[in-house]
Amino acid sequence: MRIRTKITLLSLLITIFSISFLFLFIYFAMNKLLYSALDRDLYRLTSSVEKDVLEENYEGEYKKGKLEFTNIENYWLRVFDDKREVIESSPLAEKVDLPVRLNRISGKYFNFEVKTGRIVEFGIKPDSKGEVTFRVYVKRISGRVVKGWIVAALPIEKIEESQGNLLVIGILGIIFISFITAVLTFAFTKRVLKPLETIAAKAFHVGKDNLTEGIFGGSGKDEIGILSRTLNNMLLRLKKAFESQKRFISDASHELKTPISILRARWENELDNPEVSQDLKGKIAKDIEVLSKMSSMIDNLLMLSRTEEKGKNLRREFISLNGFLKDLIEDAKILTDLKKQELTYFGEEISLYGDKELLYRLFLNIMKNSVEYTPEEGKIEVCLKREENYAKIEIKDSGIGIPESELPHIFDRFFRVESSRSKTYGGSGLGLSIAKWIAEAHGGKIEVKSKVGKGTSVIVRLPIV
Amino acid sequence: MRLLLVEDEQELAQEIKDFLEEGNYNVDVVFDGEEGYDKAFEEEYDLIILDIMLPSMDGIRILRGLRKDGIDTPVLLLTAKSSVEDKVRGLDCGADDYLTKPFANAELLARIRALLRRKSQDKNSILRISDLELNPATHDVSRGGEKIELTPKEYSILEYMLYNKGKVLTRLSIAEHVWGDSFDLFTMSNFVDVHIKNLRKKMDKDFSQRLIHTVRGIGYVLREANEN
Repeated sequence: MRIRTKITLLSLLITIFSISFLFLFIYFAMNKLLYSALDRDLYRLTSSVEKDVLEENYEGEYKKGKLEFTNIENYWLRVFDDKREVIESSPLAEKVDLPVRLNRISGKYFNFEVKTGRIVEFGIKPDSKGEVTFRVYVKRISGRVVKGWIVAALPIEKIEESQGNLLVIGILGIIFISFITAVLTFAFTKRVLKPLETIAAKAFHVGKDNLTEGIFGGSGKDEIGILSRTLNNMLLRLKKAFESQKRFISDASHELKTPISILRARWENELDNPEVSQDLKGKIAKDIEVLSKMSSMIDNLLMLSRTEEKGKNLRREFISLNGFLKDLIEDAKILTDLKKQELTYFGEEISLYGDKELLYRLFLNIMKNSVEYTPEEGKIEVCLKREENYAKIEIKDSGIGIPESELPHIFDRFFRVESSRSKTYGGSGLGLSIAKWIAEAHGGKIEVKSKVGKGTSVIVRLPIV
Repeated sequence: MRLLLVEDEQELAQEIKDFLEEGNYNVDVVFDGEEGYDKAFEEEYDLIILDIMLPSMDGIRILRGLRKDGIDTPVLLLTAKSSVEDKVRGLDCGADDYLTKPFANAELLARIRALLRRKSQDKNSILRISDLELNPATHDVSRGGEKIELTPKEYSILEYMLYNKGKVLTRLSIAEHVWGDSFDLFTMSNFVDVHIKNLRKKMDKDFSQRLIHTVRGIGYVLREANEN
């Protein structure tokens, strides 16, 4: 899951939880408030009724129907005597019966549900089950004449209604606030995490060739600013490491070549020395060849290590590729003739801007490989074609092919395809790496397709300027 | 002919000096850059061989200084192969040629002779051996007055051999001369052998006196007599 989604979900969860908690608190507090107001009313009513009843009946028999209910039409009120006879009844109480148990519940406030029809004049609307809930208060009275209970009750549909309203408002509120939170968090994290995406995108393109280009922005004091500064530092250190490595290779190769130069000059002089026997001169000539091989290996390694300046070191000139390849084919024919292989060439007129010496090495290295891995009397075809803005050179042989598992490694340094055949040409194992380096230094590509037993096809694409 | 060699690697300088003196050149050797600059400025030389990497003052700076002072003695730069940009820079600064170390003596000699020839008054001077003539200016080759058509590579080999008349040339040095860079030994010696064979076909086959001789185990030599 993406960080953005995670943060959004988390904040959404926190919001829902805390808002719900707050809402429940409000809900219960309000409930309590409403009930206590109601209870106060009931209490006041019963108190005043008690007073009335007791005052009226200071002496003698209690006269029924003495109470007036002008201000309290909507209240349900009954007064019972000890025999549980109703002695007073409010208009609402005439219509609805609340069969409460009197002695057990006196002095308490409670809710009581009762089945009732719709009573329009009192504005009573029963709920879906046909019930109406009353808040009931029972008070024991004991005057000299009247002993009994006052029962007062009020329908609480108002409270229920406001409770329902509150619930709806609460749920809608929770949904709304959660939605806003989610949207804002999402937008905010997008904004906050944007630099991270930029960093990731830049880091993706950082290779050892462009360490300086990957400098990340971000001067902020937040974690992302710290991150990008850390990355910048890391890149800088990496760059220094690469530079020092490069310098080391350059210095080392120079240091190695000096003694080789001295040895070569010395042996070359001995070759001209008439006192040295012909036999020894032959050995000296061989030694010089070994020295030359050492020196060219140092050059190759140095070249391969200089990835950063690819292309900068080329001595470019305009080359007619067709003529150039024809010339090269002449040389390559010397090799194919030795193995009685058939070498054919077809090319279009294409010219490009490149380093002749390096391109010669590029193609000769590939050709040499083809010759080596193609049996006697095999076939090698070279074809030069224009393909969009590229010159496409394909070198196709009918050789032993390269197993699929080894294909990805053939451009690796010092890699050789496993083969029982002796290393006829004594190559350094750098040939194809060099070829790839040269193609890339020219802004081109090199690609190999192969089928075991059928042959290999090397395709070089070089940009035409 | 007086040559100045500025090369800080003393052993190498000594070997080069020995070799050039054998070829009848007078060689002054200087190991230090500044000293080399002073010497080149004060004395007159036919050619200066300059190493690029030098203590106190590098070859490029010496060269630039000399050209600024109006000294147009031919300069042959010696470079380490590692720095192609050095070569380009050197040529841009007015070097006449460059050679990468390590090199074959024959190559150095051919470069020196070509430079001196270019410098000398008669620019059309012709290289010859017996009745074979080669004109470096026009690339015309003839033997016994008859024109011989050579491929560019054959021409390059023949010219190289003419600059090193009588000296045994290794296959390696011929290959380095023609292809610039050495490939693996197998490819290289085959290339050289085939081109020499073709060259022989064109310039030796129809004549009683053979000029190109094989020196077993080493290479080839261009000389008049049929001795070994």
